[in-house]
Amino acid sequence: MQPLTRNDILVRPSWARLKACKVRGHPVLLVPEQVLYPCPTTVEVLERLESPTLYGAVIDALAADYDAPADVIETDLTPLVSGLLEQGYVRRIDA
Amino acid sequence: MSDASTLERPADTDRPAAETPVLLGLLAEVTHRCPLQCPYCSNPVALDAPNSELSATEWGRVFREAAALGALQLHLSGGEPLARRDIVDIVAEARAADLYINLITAAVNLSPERADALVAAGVDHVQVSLQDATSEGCGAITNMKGAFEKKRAACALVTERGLPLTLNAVVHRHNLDNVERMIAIAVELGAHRLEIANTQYYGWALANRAALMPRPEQVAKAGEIVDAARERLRGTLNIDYVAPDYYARYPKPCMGGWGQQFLAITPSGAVMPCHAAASIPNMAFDNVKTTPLGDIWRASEAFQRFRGTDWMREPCRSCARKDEDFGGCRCQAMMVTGDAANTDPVCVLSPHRAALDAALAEATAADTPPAFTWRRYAKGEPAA
Ligand code: SF4
Ligand code: SF4
Repeated sequence: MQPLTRNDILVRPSWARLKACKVRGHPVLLVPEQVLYPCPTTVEVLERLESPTLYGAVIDALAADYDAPADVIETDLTPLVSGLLEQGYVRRIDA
Repeated sequence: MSDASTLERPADTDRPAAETPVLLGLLAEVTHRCPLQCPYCSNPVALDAPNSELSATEWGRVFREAAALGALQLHLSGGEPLARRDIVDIVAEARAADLYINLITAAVNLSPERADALVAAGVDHVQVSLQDATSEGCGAITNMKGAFEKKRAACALVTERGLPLTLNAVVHRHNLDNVERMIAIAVELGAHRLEIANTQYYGWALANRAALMPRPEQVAKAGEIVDAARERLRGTLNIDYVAPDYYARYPKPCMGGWGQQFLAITPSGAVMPCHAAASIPNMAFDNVKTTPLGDIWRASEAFQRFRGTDWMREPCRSCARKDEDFGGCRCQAMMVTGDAANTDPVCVLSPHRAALDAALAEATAADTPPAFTWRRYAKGEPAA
């Protein structure tokens, strides 16, 4: 897989559905044949990828929210988002 | 990234023992009608009549009740769900209940217009059955000429619309040697997943057991092919392989435990802890036409009978694996030992394992297996 860069445009396919589950009291990610419990950071990323978005913009938004340097956020986030890409729950769109 | 750090599977059974479990998913068999006649069909041999089927509005109420119990995943199945003229309405009802919709279909009658309508109504994922890797093989198993070509065309309709596609292959003596070609077809059709499941011997499949039971050398070879393909196709195709349990030492877990995560609803509205539970003769199933789903899930006799582990006898009662496999399959225990409360006879610790070994030896001894009987709607009992 190509390494992830700030210029990549990412989107969550419509079939990877993020839902706030009232019965369980936390968000779930629904994908074929599986129900997954995303960690809070994954939820924040997935929420921001409902429509095609620059990965750099996701990093900057989280950096602003957490009042942290963008490069620190990027270092933390990249392995997480790469994993989502590998599993197909996030897609890269050719610019 | 480690999968576990960001995306974890739920542990829905983490709760005080006395509480009712949280429902995770439901199987809605919306009709028993089907244009195909697979000899291993998991439908009961006595099929529900079309005029007893729940309406789309009734399904809508049931879906909302299931969601209130915690259900997230819906498996829309049959028979053939596309045999329902109002399948798009049923899907729309499921979407309104905010369920994740898996459509499980034989896909021999999917037009582009219907595919568009299903996507617009909210289908999330489509599973298409693949009976064999060739047109002749597929025709012989389904008793429908041209089924293979129709399925391939339907798969293209699914992937062109951006939906994830799973191919479901049920394997047995007649097609287990074709696993490599099935994998190639899944890749060619752009499937996300391929599920290769050895036949489970209940319902129509039990009647056809001697014709369908694979030979040991077939089982070993298929296992090797799947292992190699998984490695080779990592990131392209996920392959789930369900090994044949007659060849195993321990049974498979009964879907997360009886009455723990799932329920199945028949076309006419009977609610069962599993889709094969109708094979347990002295068990009564409450119906959503007369009883709210929540009451059935929480308190009906069928769900309570094998919930948890208190009902177990020896050797399960004192076995360390009992929370892992739940004593195996109640339906298989019923069919092979005559008592659903017995240990699954697949288990090497079961006193009935010898009966199963004898059936296995008999079924695999013949060089040419007997012909199988196709599933048919009208008469009910298979003539095996
Ligand atoms: S009882 Fe058997 S057939 Fe039914 S869900 Fe359990 S394992 Fe499956
Ligand atoms: S004895 Fe029962 S619980 Fe133990 S492995 Fe066998 S079936 Fe499972």
